[in-house]
Amino acid sequence: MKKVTLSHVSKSYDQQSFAVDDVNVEINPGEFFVLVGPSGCGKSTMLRMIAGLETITAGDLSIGENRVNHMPPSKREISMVFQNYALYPHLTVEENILFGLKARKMNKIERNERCQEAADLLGLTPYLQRKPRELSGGQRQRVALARTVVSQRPICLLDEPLSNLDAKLRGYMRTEIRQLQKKLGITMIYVTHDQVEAMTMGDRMMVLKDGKVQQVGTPLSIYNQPKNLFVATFIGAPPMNTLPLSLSQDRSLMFMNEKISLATPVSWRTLLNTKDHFHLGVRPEQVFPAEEVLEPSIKFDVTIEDTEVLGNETHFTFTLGKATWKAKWQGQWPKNIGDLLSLAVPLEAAYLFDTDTEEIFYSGQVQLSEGVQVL
Amino acid sequence: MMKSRGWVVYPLLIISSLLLFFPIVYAFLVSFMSGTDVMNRSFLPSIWNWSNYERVFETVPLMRYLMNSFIVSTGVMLGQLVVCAFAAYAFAFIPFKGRNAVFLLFISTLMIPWEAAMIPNFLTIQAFGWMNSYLSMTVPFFALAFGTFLLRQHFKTVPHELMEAADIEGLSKFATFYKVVLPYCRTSLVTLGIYGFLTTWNMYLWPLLVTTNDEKRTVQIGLKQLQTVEVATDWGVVMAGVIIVIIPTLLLLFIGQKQLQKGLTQGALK
Repeated sequence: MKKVTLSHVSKSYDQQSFAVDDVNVEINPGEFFVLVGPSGCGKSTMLRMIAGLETITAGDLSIGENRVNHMPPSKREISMVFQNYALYPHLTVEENILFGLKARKMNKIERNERCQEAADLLGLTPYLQRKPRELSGGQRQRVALARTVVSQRPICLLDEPLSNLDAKLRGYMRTEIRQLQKKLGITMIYVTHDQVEAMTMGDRMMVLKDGKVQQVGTPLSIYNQPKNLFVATFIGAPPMNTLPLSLSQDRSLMFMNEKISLATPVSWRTLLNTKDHFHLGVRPEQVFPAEEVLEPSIKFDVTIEDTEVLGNETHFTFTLGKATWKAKWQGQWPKNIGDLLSLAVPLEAAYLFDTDTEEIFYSGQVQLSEGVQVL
Repeated sequence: MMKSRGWVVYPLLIISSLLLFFPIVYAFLVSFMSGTDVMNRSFLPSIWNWSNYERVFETVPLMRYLMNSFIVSTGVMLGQLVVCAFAAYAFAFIPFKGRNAVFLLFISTLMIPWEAAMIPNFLTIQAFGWMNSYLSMTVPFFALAFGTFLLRQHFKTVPHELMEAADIEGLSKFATFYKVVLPYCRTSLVTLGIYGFLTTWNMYLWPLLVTTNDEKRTVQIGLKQLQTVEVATDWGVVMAGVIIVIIPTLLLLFIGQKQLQKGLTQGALK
């Protein structure tokens, strides 16, 4: 098994701006590594550079101990699953699965053995003689995965493989791919724009924006300790609430706008000594009914603008200063639009971000314990 | 609404199909007529007889001509498919400097009428010593700008993931070409093949120029011979020849159409 190492890898198409900018990461053997970010962030470009389908402008890419910058894709010992599956329409499912093995001139007996195995594993046996167009989206997806399985290559690259499927099937295939990866013990590098996929599937994930790495870590560590405002609002559904605040001269008041202000918690005053502005970030599930919060907290009253009752939880939408916030409460809450709510946010659930750099400079949880905290 | 439209559309279709078919139908009828029937301008033959067909084969070596035509047309068809497919692959997939300029130059040859190039072509063929050979009737037509353009446009629709997947599996450029690109674009290849075969089959002027004996002549020249070998043209015999010449082209169209439909319904992935 080989690890994949990127050091100072960059990609530029026009010699002026970077599609991928100075990426450093080490992907361990057998790891499920997710590249996630909004569209155009360079995650697909990065994957294609690892595959060898895109040249590397600067930096080094190694697989195992070898630098592979100029190695052709077929020599890199990788397999790839494409967004539109890239099945050959003129070949049957079986021929599609065996396409690569035939190209590698593997003998027929072993070829058929592997095909049987893969077909059994993915439940494709009844469909082997069909053409791809006679299959449903999920089945096509599985044929594409079967190609990876029969290739028995240690590294598999997946480029948004689930984005053409409907929501239910997507959820199903998520587990299936994850189980497949664990069963085969291969390295998977998985590109997605869907943070739910990233959170649920990845051993580790890398959050990208505009070609720059924002944060690398386990899904929970990224959720609990986002490094900056972008990561905080990108990961999590509904996303983290944020609110720009400006401070009074003596730092005792935090202004949402010209009129409305909150008292600055005493424990924050030294923290905020050097700042005039900052962003407050709070996860929707950390916005509680005021009477339930006993520890030190920020309290405010709002008017409900929208409610969504989802059965096991209820979302409230309201405006705070210039920002639209959401609160996520467990259970079903019979509240109407226009009702007043008294809310509180425990200080330890707050994240504070620098307005200029957007970097985090305080998080309640980090103060409580170093490392990952499971709630 | 639909019904009233049918009342307008169908009569129009029937009339135009009658207009289109009339020459062929009438040729078919004339081929069974005796000389007097033709002179009388009757529409149906008074007695149906096959004598015209027998006489066609007696007057000119029609089988020989048919075979020549078949060899030449098949040769041109295959040659065109190979040359155009290679050229189209280069224009579609291999990035080289000045590709667009070369392609435009290539396409611009479409605007030069073929007749204008006929004399230089003839001189070249003569210099090669290719007179009265199949080579002279096939090779000059292999490079076809229209065919290259047609295939290139279709090649460009091949999803690049298919090419990349082949790349990752380690297929060579040539293997990608004939295992991925060609099967994917079968419809266009069939279209081009039929087009090439039919145009060559119907060619008259060029085969007339480069052949001087019956050994290599094609069927269209044979037909013309039927009109001139006798003092008064026996139209019954000529039409019998025409019908015989049409049959292979019709067969090709029927077979090809089935292939074309298959290709169209095969459908790509989304």
